[in-house]
Amino acid sequence: MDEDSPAPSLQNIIDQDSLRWIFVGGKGGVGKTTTSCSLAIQLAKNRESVLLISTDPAHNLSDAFGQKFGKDARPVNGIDNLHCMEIDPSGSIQEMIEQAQSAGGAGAGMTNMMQDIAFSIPGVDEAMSFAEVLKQVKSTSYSVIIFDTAPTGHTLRFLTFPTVLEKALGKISELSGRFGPMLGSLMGGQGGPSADDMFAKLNETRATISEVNTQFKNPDLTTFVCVCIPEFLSLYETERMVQDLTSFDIDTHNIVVNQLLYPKKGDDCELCSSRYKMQQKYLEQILDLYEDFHIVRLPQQTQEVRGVQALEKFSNLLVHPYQHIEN
Amino acid sequence: MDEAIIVDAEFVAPVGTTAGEFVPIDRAPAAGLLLLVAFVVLYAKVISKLGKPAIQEFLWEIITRIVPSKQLRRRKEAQLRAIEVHTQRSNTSSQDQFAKWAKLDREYGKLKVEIEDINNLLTASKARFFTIISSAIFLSTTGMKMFLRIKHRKAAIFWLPKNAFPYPIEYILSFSSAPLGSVSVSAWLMICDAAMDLIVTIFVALVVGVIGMLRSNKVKPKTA
Repeated sequence: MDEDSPAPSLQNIIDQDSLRWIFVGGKGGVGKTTTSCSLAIQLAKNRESVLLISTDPAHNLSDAFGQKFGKDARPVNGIDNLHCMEIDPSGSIQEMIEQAQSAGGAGAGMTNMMQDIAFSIPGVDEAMSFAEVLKQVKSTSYSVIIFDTAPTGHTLRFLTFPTVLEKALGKISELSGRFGPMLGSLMGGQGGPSADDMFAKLNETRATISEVNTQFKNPDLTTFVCVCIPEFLSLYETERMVQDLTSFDIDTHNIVVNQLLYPKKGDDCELCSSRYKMQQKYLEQILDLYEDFHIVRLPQQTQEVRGVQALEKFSNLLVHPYQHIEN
Repeated sequence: MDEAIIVDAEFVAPVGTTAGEFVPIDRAPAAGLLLLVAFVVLYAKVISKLGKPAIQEFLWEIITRIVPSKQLRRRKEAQLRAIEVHTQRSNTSSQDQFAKWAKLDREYGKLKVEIEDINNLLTASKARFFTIISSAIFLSTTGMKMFLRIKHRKAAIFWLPKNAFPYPIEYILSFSSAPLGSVSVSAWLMICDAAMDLIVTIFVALVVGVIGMLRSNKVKPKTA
């Protein structure tokens, strides 16, 4: 290991007191939730209060901590200043649509059409629900907020380029403003107020997004932790993510390489040693490619990391690099 | 020449002079103006036949050849480099040498963005150039015609034989402000225009006819 390459731990995140938003991202199955939980536990030791949010409908935070979490922040048993939140991302938007539909009336046809158009913008629903979450969270006083299940490319695009969304929404709301009343009167009734509500809500979202956007582009406030496993596809996705993030001006300088195998010497497990060779090949590539990143190496666990104790133990590996003892 | 003018001179009372005072009027054709107008019409005709877009493209082509454009050179370099990087990337196994592959991929991405940027710049400067050319064409054709019409509105290009045409025709030919009995710039412009159209039509017809004749002469012996 070179002397001048960054330390292989996430200590830098814990030390950076100005950080307010931390995203943990990576493809499914690489240990994103475990990593974000561990990071949250470590941060809770240094910060006043930490909020961990998952927007995954599979409710993996509950499983990881072995405790039921819900829509509002609840403290983790045993760690008082760590709160968790599980949000169904499609919830808020679905609610809104249902609300608009039940408001119905003669103008409903128009409203539905405009809604369909508005939601046909790719990623807009996700962006909206994400913005909704941000709005809720912004008002609270957590010193740091960690996102498990980071938003995908489309959403990030909207978050970092609010102008795209702004233009699209502006056009649609203009169209609806122009033709809505006409169609409404043609259909022989009063245009329902639901269309206006709808766009008021969309506009509100837009405002939140553009506000948050400036914070996300500030490396003092926001950083993105990439989680991957030493395999080709995961590496490829990570590279793409890093490039995307760079183009969006979102800071990222940490990569967690998870599920590394360290077979014992003299162990005659053929599978282990061949996989170890493969993993080392990709690990070398990672070290070569991301020489200015903090690259954290986490060993493959023999069991699922579940429960506060297990997570706490595992989380130490984030700050104290794993030393493989050769015997 | 002087004598001829005196012989042809007619004595009329121009506006603003008292009845008794006679001023000689020069009835010789204004040869310079006549040719100038004819030339302007010819020029405008040629331009319109060639078509503005074609001229713009042609001039742009010439300008970019003559003036060494920094952007063009940069784009060329970037394109060459992009091709090189692309070949290198496709020759690199992404699975065995991921770091190298990814670095090439990054460079390729960067080059593509650079080329795109240069293209945008070039498009913008091309559009600017086109606007300039387009206004230059407008000024030198329509603008020039307008200018001649207004500047020499009182000038007589040449005089008609006395009493050869009835008053309405004389009036139209001297429209708008040339002295009655002469041909004004406006009228001369229209005459030139129509004449040139006619000449072109006749010429085209002749050419087509001649070619047709030649062809039929050639074809006949073969079929016979």
